Formats: sequence, C-alpha cells, structure tokens
Amino acid sequence: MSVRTALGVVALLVLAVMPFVTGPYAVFVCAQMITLIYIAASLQMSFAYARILSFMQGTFFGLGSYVACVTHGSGFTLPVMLLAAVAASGVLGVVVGLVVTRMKAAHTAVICTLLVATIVLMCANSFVGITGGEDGLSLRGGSYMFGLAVAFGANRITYCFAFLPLAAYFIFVMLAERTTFGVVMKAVGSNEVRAAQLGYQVWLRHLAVFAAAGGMAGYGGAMNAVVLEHVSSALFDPNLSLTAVLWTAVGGLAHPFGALFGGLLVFPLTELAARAFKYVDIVVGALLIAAALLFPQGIAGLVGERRLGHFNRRSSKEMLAEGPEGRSQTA
Amino acid sequence: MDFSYALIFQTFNGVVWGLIFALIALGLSLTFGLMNLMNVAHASFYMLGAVLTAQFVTRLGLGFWSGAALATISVGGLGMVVNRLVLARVVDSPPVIGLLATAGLLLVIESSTLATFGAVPVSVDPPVDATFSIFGVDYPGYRLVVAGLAVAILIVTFLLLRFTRFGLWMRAAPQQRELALISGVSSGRINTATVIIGSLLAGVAGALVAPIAGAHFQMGSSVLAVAFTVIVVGGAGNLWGAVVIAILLGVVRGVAAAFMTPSEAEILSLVLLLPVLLLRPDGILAKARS
Repeated sequence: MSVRTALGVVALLVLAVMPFVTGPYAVFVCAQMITLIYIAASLQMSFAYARILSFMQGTFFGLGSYVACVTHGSGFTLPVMLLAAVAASGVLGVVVGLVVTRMKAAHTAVICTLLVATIVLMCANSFVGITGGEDGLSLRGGSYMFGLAVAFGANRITYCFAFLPLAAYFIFVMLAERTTFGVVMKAVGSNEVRAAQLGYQVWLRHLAVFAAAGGMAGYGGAMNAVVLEHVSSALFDPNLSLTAVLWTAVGGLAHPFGALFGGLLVFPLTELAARAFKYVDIVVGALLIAAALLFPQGIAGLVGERRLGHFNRRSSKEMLAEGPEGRSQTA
Repeated sequence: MDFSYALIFQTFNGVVWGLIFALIALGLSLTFGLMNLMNVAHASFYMLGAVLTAQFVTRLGLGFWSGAALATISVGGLGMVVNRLVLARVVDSPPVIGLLATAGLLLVIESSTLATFGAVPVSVDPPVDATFSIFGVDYPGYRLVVAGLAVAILIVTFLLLRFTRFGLWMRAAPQQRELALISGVSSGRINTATVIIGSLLAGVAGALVAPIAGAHFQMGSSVLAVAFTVIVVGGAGNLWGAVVIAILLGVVRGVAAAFMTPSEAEILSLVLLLPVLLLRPDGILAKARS
C-alpha cells in the first residue's frame, strides 16, 4: 500500500469515528466539510477521467440543494429528495457534457462550464420568487428513510448519510484502480487518442463521467441542504467552485484522494483563519497561488507512490505537464 | 413611440457596453493569445480600474479624467508587479497551473479591495452632463464619449500591434520563442509588455464604466465569463474576432433590454452564446487571422 493510499484510509477512518467521539459542533463542522468535499471530489473526477476542469461543480451542488429543498416542500421523503437531487444534477451534467466533451481544447471546456455557472447564478438571482434569492429558502423539520425518522440538521444520522457514500466512492476508486475498469477509465482520461485506437468509446465515457460528477456534486448539495437546513442563490456562486478547485489543487488534482486531503487541510485552515481574519478569501487566494507555484501536484502528488522510503523524483512541472495519470496536456 | 425610443436608447447602450466588453476582451485575448495564459485575474484589473477611479474622485477629490488616468496607470503598474511575482512563473507551465494561480490572484485582489475600500458600491458623477439628440433620442453625452474613446483605444492598440516593431515582436515571439530569442527579442520582456497592455485595457475599461455602473469589488466577476466566452467564440488567439463578438454581444443585450428587464437580457445574451459554443467550439472566427 502506498503512503498516499494509507493516508487516505486513515483520513476516512478518522472521519468515520468523528461523530461518535466528538460533540455536536464538531459533527456540524465535519458534516458541512464532507458535503463540500463532494464538490472537490466530483471536480477531481471530472478532471482526471473526463479531461474537463469544471468551474461549475458548485452549480451542480446548488442545484442538488434546491431540488432537495423543493421535493421536501412537496412532501416527499428523504430517499426521493436525494434521488431527485442526483437525477437533476446528473441530467444537467449530461446536457452540459454534450457540449463540453465535444470541445477539443481544454480551455474551451473550462470557459463553457464557467459560462453555464454564470448563467445559472444570474437566473437564481433574477428569479427570486422561486429561489428566494440571497435570503434563500429554509428546509425545516425532518423526513423519513425506509420508516426511519431523520431529523434535519447536523446529527449522527445525517452525518452518516453524508459520509458513507463519499467513503464508498473513495474505496471504490481505490479498489478499482488495478481492475480492467479502472485501467480503462485512466486510459480515457490520460490519452484519449490511444484509448480510442484501442476501441474504447472515449466520448461516451467522458460524458458519463461528467454526468456522474454532476450527480455526485448534486448529492453533496442535497446533504448540505439537509445538514444546514437552508439553501440560497449564493450556492451557485462560481466562488464555491473556485473553493473546490483550491481544495483539489492543494490535495492533488491527479489523484482521487487529492480532494479528500485538500478538504481536510484547507477547510479547517480557512475556518480558523476566518475567526482571526475577516477577509479570509485573501488567505484562500494566496494558498491557491502558493499551491500552483510551489507544489502544483498537491499533497497526493507530494507523497506520491512512495513506499518504504522511495521518493518520486520527477519534478512537479513534469508531473503536471503529463496531467492526470501521465497524460499530455495541451491547450 | 415609447417602444421605438426605448429600442434606440437600449441599442446605443448595447453598442457602448459592447465597446467596453471589447476593451476587456482584447486585453484578455492578448494574454491568452500571445502568452497562452488564461488570466482569470484580468477581471479584477477591470474592477480595480473602476474602484480606484471612484476612490480617487470621491476621496482624493481629483477630477474624473485625472482620476481615471491615475487609476489606469495604477492598474498597469499592478499588472507589471503581478506579472513579475506570479504570471511570469506560470507562463510556460501547463494551462491548469496558470488557471489556478490567476484564480488565486483574482481572490486576493478582490478580497484586498473589499478589505481596503469596503463593500458599499460607489457611484461617480459623469464628467459630461450634456445629452445629445440622436434619431429623436436624448442620449447621455458621457456614454458617447466613452464609445469614442473605446474606439480610439482599440484603433491605437491595433496600430501598435500591426505597424510597430514592438507589435511585430509581440506577435512573432509566441510563435517562435527560440528564434525570437536568438534575434535579440526577449520573450520575458514581450510577456511583461503584453500583461501591462492587457491590464491597461482592463483598467481603462473599468475607469470608463465607473460613472455608468458605479464601482464595486465584485463587478469583475460579472464580466469574467462574458469576456472569456467572447474570446472563445471570437476564435482563441484571434484578437479582433474577440472585439467583433464583444460588440455584437453588447448590441444583442441592448436590443433585448428593450423587450425585457436588463437582467433577463443579460441572461438571454449569454444563453445565445451556448449554441455557438456547441456548433463551433473553436469559435466562429477561428480561421481568421488577427
């Protein structure tokens, strides 16, 4: 087991026991952080396997939040709320994916996701009657899941609903890494020309990954709404996606655990900084610059595949030039 | 009568905004086309142009034109510093690194502006009070001045790039960096000049906008996606394609504003760009040469 994988497993174990050994405030903070890690993890998925650095993962997240809120308001139970959030975000992912996966240049796809995110934010701010605008909508009370009563807010049950699917995703990626499926997914994310020559449906897989990443962020958004009991148009702000980019960049864009490492490191740091310093985005921005200049491969890249004291001797620029899993990056 | 008045008025508004977008997009297109750098922080240069102008006029009591000039120069200076500290270090890196670093810059500049000048939007009185009657519509004179100045700046930039030796270097160096270097042209200096010109263009656009839309620390974010989309639709690397698309976008937005609210018109104009990105992902003017 590599150091990176071991660190990832330890991080997951710590998060798993967290609600049983800490107080309500820690559960609230961690549950919020976990829901936000969905954005970072979905961004990493999109970048690593679909070659799209998406600036609209926050949009999927916000859509999931609103769908959960609206379905709850319509009297549906928690499973329907979560499924509807995933489905709506996934469908948006398919629609946008149909456009962005056709784009050959990486920058065009980035810009397209940024454009869609901006349009959705404008719509959310314009149609205040539906979205509640910046004041937002409340999600009060609770719901049921297979007969089990689930109170909204941060508690052990909602924590588990937030954490378990995320943990399952990371474990799945870890286990699938060396399977045929995992290798093929790496291939279509690393070198689409070669993968296509080998007979794989690259475009379809990119589309499926982008849609799945959307659905994943949507689930995180739904759970965020459940934990915070509130949604607002601020969820659609591209700055939320930018925060996810930061987490993933600090953690490591090229490896799934990067999103986890980035979230676990940056979220507490920014929360602490926010207590001492009002304008915490200065710290966030400085971190982003530092991450880009000093360790562009992120924490996951720094620890790399190191085993028993072996260091990855490739420079950070070489690693990023190769992109996720060694693919060549061209604009 | 009222509708045709509104249509003509909003069309003029659209042209003015289109020219302002063109200034922003041209600056962005310069760093993108000549340095292959997606400079997300470009939007904050535009914002700073407006905020600094408003601060120079309201706090220091400077006249509008001197305040706008000082703000533009300050933004150009900041561009030079930012280039030295960050951009020059990421220009030869993979695109994603430049994107991350400039996104960080955007956050730092926006938040620093918030911390320094506050969150309250500042309005600036236009330096030209007169209105002019055009096609039966009384149109604010300042906006016509802005349109004229924007056209003049675009022409000067075109002449600089097309007919001066420096412009030739700027266009040539990105194509053959090694050849440029052995010919005595430093790509580092060319990049610095590109960033300074780009930031000056964004800064002057912000300064000119201040009396029209006020100044606010988040105003850059609202033009970011528009500016990037404009340069993609115009054809990445095609400087004048971006200018043409920016003006067209402004006109569409202006005409649409006669039929709906300004916010809805803004949304519509952006939605209209989506099919273009789908059908011509490399831009509708991709084959044209700048």
